Amino acid sequence: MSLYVVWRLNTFTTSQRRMNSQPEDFKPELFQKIFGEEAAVSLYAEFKANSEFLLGEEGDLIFEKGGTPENVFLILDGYLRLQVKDSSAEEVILQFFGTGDLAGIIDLMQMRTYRATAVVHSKNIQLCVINKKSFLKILSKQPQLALRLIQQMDKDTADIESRAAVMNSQKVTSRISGAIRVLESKFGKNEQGEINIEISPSHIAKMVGATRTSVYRSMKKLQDLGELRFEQHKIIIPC
Amino acid sequence: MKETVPVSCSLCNKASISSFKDLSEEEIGKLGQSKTCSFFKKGQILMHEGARATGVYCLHRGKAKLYRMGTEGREQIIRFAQGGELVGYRSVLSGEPLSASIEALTDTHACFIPKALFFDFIQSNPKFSLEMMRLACHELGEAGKLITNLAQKSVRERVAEVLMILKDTFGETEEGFIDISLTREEIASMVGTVTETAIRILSEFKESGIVILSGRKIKVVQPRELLRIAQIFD
Repeated sequence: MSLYVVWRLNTFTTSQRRMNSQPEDFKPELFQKIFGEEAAVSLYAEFKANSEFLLGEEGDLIFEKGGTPENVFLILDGYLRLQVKDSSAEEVILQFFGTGDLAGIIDLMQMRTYRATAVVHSKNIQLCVINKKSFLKILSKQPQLALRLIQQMDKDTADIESRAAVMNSQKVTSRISGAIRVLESKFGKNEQGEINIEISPSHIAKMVGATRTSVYRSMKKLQDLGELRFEQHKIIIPC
Repeated sequence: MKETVPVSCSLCNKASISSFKDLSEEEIGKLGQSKTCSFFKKGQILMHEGARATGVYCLHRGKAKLYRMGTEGREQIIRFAQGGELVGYRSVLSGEPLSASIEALTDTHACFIPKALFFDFIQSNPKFSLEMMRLACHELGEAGKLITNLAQKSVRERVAEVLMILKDTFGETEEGFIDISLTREEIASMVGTVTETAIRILSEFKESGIVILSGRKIKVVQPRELLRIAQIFD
């Protein structure tokens, strides 16, 4: 990891919010990739002046359901998952965030407490943290940022709605196929056909609202049909 | 669909709640010059899932449902829209095909705003772009709730929740019925179940005195009981 000064996210409290350096790879090019050429330079300058940088590890909580949104989190490297628990303490994964995504915006913009918990999904994560006031200030000056965020949210909403339409089906295999299509569309796949996010059957169960046993059984069925392969937390879609 | 005489945005009775409320007088003038207004009969489609949106519709009067087809050809209602609300804007902004079809649930008047003008407003008016972002956040939040409910709640809990959502969204008539007429099939497709199950659960609610059913009309008699069944605590 290339962070000079880091602290674990689970010890991230108000009194510790100060930073005296930034990651080496926090460069305008990164913003160009995320926000496009036009807005990259000014957005980089705004984020540089107003951000703090954090390093997290798998399982760390970035924000918790019921908490008050004070920051938004730009993912520089790694993955987050957003999940909720219902009254029977079962978890449901609402969505995943990857590099270039901004997490924590929905509740902040709607001025309500967090409705879900964000957990670090990858082994490590690098985050750029910007407080609410600075974020809203940047947003009011940079319509390009709003447009980029709306586009990201549109994609996420369409993905969730697509999963909802499939959840309508009683068949767990259909639900799993739907969830995997969403992951493929969001994160893409490499030349070997591996979807660019590591995910366990237990996480898939939490995406589709089924038990782990029925997910294992259904994934085996899909594997036998040649629709996918599952190896070491990697889902492979044959080309 | 029949083109109608455009309603002036400055005289529109939905102006104060519309997403265009933050536009300047000059921008409202541009909007008036560029938009076209149409009348859709109940059941007509405003936009089709999978098509490319060339602009957005702002509903003036009437109600519409947004739905998409799941596997096995079953419809899933994503949300409803009514006077003052925008539909199709997400596809316009993302450049992606429409993720849902939009169908008039009642006779509906809607104004069509071309894509280019809509983009102009987003890029030149920060208040408007912020408003659109709030709207996008709201829709994403609602989609999250939908998937959580589908994954975790029983069909009975979901029917109870849907009735409360309909009551809150559309209000009640003078007689106390929810001010929207939906078929049992449409209720089932909101809940994510088959029509027979939706009918059975509604009948159970009726037997228990929680609701009164009169044809397609539904009156919520015991809202607290519905909230309890739906496990809505916030």
